[in-house]
Amino acid sequence: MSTGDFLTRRDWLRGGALSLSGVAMALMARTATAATAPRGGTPSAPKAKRLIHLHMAGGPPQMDLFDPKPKLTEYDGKPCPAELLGSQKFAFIKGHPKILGTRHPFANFGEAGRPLSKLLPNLGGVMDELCVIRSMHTDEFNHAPAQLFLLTGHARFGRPSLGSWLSYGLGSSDRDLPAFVVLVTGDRNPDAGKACWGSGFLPSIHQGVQFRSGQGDPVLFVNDPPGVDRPLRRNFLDAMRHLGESAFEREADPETLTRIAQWELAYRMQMSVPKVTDLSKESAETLAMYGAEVGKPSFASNCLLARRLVEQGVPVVELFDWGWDIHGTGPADDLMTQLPEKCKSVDRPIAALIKDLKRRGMLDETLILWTGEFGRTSMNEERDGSKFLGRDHNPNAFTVWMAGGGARRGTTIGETDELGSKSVRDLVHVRDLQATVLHLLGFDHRQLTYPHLGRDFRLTDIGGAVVHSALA
Amino acid sequence: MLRSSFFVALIVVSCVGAQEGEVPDFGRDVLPVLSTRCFACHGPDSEARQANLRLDSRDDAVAARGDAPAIRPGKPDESEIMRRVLASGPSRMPPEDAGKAALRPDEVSILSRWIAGGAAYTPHWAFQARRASRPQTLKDGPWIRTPVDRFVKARLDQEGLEPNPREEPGRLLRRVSIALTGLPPGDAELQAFVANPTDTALDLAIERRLTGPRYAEHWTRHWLDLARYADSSGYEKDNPRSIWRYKEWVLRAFASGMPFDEFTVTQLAGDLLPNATDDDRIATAFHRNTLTNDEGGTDDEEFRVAAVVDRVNTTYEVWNGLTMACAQCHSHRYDPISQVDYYRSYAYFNQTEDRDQPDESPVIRTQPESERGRLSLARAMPELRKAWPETPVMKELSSTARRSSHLLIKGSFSSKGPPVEPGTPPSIGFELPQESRDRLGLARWLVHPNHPLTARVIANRWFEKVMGRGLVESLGNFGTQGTPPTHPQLLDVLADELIESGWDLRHLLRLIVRSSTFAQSTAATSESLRRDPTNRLLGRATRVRLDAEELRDVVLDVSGLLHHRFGGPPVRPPQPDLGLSPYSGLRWEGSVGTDRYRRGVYTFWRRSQPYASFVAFDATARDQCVSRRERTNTPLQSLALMNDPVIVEAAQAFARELCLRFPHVRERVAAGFYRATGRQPSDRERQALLDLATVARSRFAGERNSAWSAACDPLGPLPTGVDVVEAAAWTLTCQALLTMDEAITR
Repeated sequence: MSTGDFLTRRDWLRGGALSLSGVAMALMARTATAATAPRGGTPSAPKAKRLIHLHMAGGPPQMDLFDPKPKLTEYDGKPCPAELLGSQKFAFIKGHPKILGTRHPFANFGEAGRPLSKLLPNLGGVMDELCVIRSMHTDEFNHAPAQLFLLTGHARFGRPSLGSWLSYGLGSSDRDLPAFVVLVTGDRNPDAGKACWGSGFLPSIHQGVQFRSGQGDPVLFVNDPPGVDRPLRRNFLDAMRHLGESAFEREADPETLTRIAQWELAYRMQMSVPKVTDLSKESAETLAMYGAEVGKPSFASNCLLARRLVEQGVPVVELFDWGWDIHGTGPADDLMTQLPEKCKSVDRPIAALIKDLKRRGMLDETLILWTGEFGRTSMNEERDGSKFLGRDHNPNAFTVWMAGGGARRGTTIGETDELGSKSVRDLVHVRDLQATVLHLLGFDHRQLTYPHLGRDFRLTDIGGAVVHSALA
Repeated sequence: MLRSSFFVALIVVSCVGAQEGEVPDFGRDVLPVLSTRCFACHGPDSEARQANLRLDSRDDAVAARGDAPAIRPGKPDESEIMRRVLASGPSRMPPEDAGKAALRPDEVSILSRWIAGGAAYTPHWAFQARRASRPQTLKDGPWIRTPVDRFVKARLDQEGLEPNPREEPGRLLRRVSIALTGLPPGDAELQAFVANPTDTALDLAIERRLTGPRYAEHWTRHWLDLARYADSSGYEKDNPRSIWRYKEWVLRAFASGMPFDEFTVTQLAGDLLPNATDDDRIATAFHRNTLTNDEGGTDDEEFRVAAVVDRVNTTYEVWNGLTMACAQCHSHRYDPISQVDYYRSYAYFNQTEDRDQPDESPVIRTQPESERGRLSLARAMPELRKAWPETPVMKELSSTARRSSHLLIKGSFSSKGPPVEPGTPPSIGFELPQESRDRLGLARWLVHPNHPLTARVIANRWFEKVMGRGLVESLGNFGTQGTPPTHPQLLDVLADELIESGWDLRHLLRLIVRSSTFAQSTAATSESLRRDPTNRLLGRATRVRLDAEELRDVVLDVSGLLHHRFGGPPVRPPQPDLGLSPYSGLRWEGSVGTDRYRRGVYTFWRRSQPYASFVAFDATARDQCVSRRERTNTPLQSLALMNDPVIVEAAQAFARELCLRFPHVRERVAAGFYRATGRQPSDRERQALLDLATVARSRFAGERNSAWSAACDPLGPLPTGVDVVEAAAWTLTCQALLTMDEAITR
């Protein structure tokens, strides 16, 4: 791939962070010139030291969860006003759709009495921690492009993901675990697949490492084979390092350097992974708080695992949960049954994660970001005359929220129109959100760049502005 | 200082486009700007179009409108488009209030110079007829062995770069061997070649690898990613599916050197050939690799349509490098393919009997290879016939039962729009003759010599598999959003050669593998990395980490465990207990005996839980056509190389062989290293391995139980004459040989 500065500036200054021999260091110094050390790569005055990103793949319906719209209920079942349709494009809606009022009541939560769906009562319990942005909008209205746009700043494949940019900027110091861990629930990967956590043109050391979420071990092949103990494994790795460095001397392939580092990380992970993934070490009270069961994969287990991972120094953890694509074409994507089901599976664990981090004194330095890739329409989709209720994709309005890590507590930003179908006040574009997240982690989104094919690339490409009202 | 010179150097290589003062080329320079910045609202999709303006058609772009035409050729100052891209505030394009960014100065400059130069529109390069002109400045020379070298050298000359020196003979033979068969050369061949590494000897080695079962297995594996082949039916239940006879058909097709046009036509329409044989029908299972939804309560028609849609998308991606899927719900935003075009293509595939049934009907029952020759027995005993495997196939509906095809509004299976007749997208520039409006006609159209895309797309795919990088990097996207070719004329020459050779893929491979370009060393220098980090100019051989199955096959082969058996049903080699399959509740029952050691192409492919170590090395679920696998580099791969029982077992076998054959440890290291890499170890490498063997030996000497486990679990008891401590120590050493950076790359 590109010239391998998988070392960051900080590692560079410290020197020998990966225990490479002098020869390899010298070679790296020749290939990885000063120009490829991350620029903007030293976080300045970060509010957050780590990010837990909870991504609800599929596009949760904002007006049923965070953004109550009385008019929507008033117009329920009536044809959609023509001015609302305008030139709007839909993925599936055809003809003249009817308004769909929410079927799920709201209640006011927290000191300020901010509204939230009763489907999320536990989240309501930590409402005062949230900075809710109701005026999001994006450029894309299909899942894979919209996920890529949110996560990599570009609607097509090939760009580094948010987590990779952070890994690049924050540095891969002597950790026992990867800098960027990915956990997936919901029976399938997000539509855009591994590209959601890919490193694009950044050195491959910065890609997300996906832990398994199915039955069995979260990480396969961690145990040494019978007869091989730790000291012997260390001897083996020393030989591997010599062989790897020797290959690098011959070939100068940056991937070889990544591979040497991954062998060392794998060696450390053999010790750290079984520990960090062993949820049985948690108290019964904590398990109950999250709603997690030992040995049972779930979003709740992943939230608890996320806390354990950041506690052990992992700076970026991303949770993907598929199943929020509430079209109403059948029982599996019905607003009446599937949405409550999905809410139930995430409500308690997310609230527990916030409370747990807070009581451990970690919330101030941990930014929690909750997103979908886009929002949903105010109209009932009624695809093929479906009797189930559901909403189509909507790039013009959706809600995200942040908590901890320098985000302003107890705030609601932005407004959508009366029917919740278009953001109309204090609009926040996806690139603005990206700029804000980078800012909270100590990076100027215009400065954190990487030279590729003759120009400097950045996560926000050529847009993005920090949302100052979202900062504490 | 260092920084600025670095960027200057980078820009030299990457900006191959027009220089200031030169009229930009429409396809290379202008179209990417228009396509990325303008077409979403002013492009081919009439529904998304704003202000009734389209910029993808010159007639529309230059037409008189209000104050000024969008484009007035020759006069950027009088072109509305220039005024708008330079404006600030609400009149700026692309619109700021939609969150779109303004054009960069270089993009503005391209548009302006292009308009000044007359605003010529030419069709997208991939839709134009091939122009296989030879570069005039090219000379022959000792370095020029095949046409590939001609174009690569011309381009390097242009950049003032020299090609890399030739690869060491042993490493070169290894690379040739893995690129063509997925397996390394044997010891004897390696030694003979290194002793006499002439061009003739190399050509002979190449020739030997363009035929036979090993070659066929390797290229079948590549093809199966495109065919989205799996041994289970997908969706929630993901039940096992018996479709391996199709894989056998592909294996035999490659083994016999079937021309690619016949290969295409048989898979897409073998059932419609005159006097179609069972084999011809089995080939059509290519398009029965679509998913089947066995979940209760699902609408069969919905999933039948989903399968037909997948057939359209797969066909165009595999053969034409077009992302047709976009046009399923709306006209393509970037490429000139309308929604009507899409459903006209759909109509070809909408006339088969299959309709998402749990029994996968229609199927045909055919005699397994292993029983051939016992036909009379089967005739005599019909019950034997019942045990023959069934294979899902394509079967055309009878003339009375044919469906009418419609445009599906927003891509929804039951929202039928106007009826459509079969037809191919006109923008491809070569239309199907009227009389052949069925799958057979479509298949023949795809491989017609005048089709601008197919031969380019296929030549590029084969080029990428061998060279590690396509001339067009986006293998499955030759549209305006794909990457333009690095060597456009070379791509056209290879496409022409492919067609003129009678679609002989082996001829294509010869041109690529016999080239001096291929034979270059993979070694990069800081200079070459600076000037061409991703090796777009091919001034060195691209170093490639082995694919998941290749890695397994090479490890088993080097260690002597690989068991060769051509064809047959899928096998289940050992893997960690992954728990039950999510829905069908099936557990992985490991194969026993030699089936544990078969090549990766025979491993059972379960979509919901693909083979664990393959997943670690970037194999996919095969839910859909995969043009190119990602190549990641993760700690999970290191863990697999350390602890996967398959690798450990191979190391045990390798160690036993080396211990038996070579009493002296230095000989063991030399022989082992040679087999793993094709070269002798350096002093440092030799010492690292000897040190590992020594320290392991002293450790195991005190712990004979551990030694026994390390040497024998899971391979089994040692042969006589091998000491357990020695075997254990060398198992670990051999594992280093099998998994080191150089051993898992080529």
